[in-house]
Amino acid sequence: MPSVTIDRTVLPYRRELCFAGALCTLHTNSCDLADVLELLSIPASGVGASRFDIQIVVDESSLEAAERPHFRGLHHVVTATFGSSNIFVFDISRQKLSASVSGAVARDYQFWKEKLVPITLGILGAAIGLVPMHCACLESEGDGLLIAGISGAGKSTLSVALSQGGFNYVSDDWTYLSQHGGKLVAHGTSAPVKLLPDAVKHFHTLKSCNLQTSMNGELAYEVDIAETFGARKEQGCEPRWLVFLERTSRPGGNFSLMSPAAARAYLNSSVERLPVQLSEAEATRRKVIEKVSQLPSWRFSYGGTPQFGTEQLRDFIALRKREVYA
Amino acid sequence: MTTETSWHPDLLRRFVATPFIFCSGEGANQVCIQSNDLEIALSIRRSCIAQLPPDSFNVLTWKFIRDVSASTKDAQISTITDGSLRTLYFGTGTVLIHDREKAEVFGFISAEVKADQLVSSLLPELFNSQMPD
Repeated sequence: MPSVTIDRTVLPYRRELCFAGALCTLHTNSCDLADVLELLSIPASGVGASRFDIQIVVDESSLEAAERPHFRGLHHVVTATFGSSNIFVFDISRQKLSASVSGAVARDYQFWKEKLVPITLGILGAAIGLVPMHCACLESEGDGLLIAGISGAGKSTLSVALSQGGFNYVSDDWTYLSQHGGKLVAHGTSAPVKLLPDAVKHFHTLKSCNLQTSMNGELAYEVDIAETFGARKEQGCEPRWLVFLERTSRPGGNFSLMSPAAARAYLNSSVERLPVQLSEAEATRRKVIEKVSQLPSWRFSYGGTPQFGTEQLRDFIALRKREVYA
Repeated sequence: MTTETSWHPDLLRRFVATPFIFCSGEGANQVCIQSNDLEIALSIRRSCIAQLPPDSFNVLTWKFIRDVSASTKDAQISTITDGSLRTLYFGTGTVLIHDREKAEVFGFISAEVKADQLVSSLLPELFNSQMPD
């Protein structure tokens, strides 16, 4: 029976890392894995950052690649397996990931970049004050624009179009929000942009990319936005505006102001439920949602191409900036 | 926030109803057993009466979800122990977690695993080789 006891004091490789603004201490027995995660780490921004631990034992005798994932969760624990040799245990209340992986997975840069690091932030996020919210984030001249919307509303497509239209890209689907000194900060992760097959109509570059089965079973393009579209990426920004995206079949665009109460209700419905064992994380999340719901918010309905939506949003944001700085 | 207001499906199966509940004892020593499977709940209750796990583990909360959507193909037992948390996998579909500090045992049981097997084999394996403080 494979049995792994994780004792950080005997794991020889230690790294201080930073993902989405959260500090992370890694302990592992694999220099290769430590190097892979160090490549994905971003510079730490400093004071007040959240913190979590990762402890990973690598079984060099196993060459099993990452297989189809299986997730379950109860109480304060979430587990994930990617085949029998790749087991991850997320202890949310202790802000810790413990894992046992194969040598092949330890060296699989794409696996950590596209799956495990974003998954870890998604699961531990609320408990470390880094709240995952279902919205895209774009940045322009230091100001952040959050774009919320249900799955399929076109957040990712619009994010790519915006990144080609003068905005810097932070995230397209999940954005991680934290508060430091009363200031809201939005962070992206190393997750790829996920575009559904019909996005190729708007972005011909995708013709040279392959469709893949994503973790939720959907067929999609999963691409690095900088590599595929030449977009500029920002690690984080301070959100200034919140837009709720709605697609209509009628051509044209329309912005209507939303109240903080309406924004709060929408954001509350867009986050995952947490069990009672994670009431502290729930309280942290509530505070962040409250802060986000106080941002100037609009419902943006548009029909047309993502490039048309980009023009509408760009003009709208330029107008809001002129109002603020007038 | 309530289930009704969240549009996310319960992909982790965190919120599966566990209508079979047995509680005994009082106050801080109350032992509670919850499951969505009557046979599992009864088997755990019997095993608690027979003192499994040993007293020194002092488990107060038991919660097991019969997970019919998961399988135990290529079943092999693996365990990961980190501090007070010990996790046992049996294939992909069965996962048992013992948090010694919180005095809780919980997990998911795949359709192929019988309640008897859980109590006579998997739970002893979960407790096995853990040295109580």
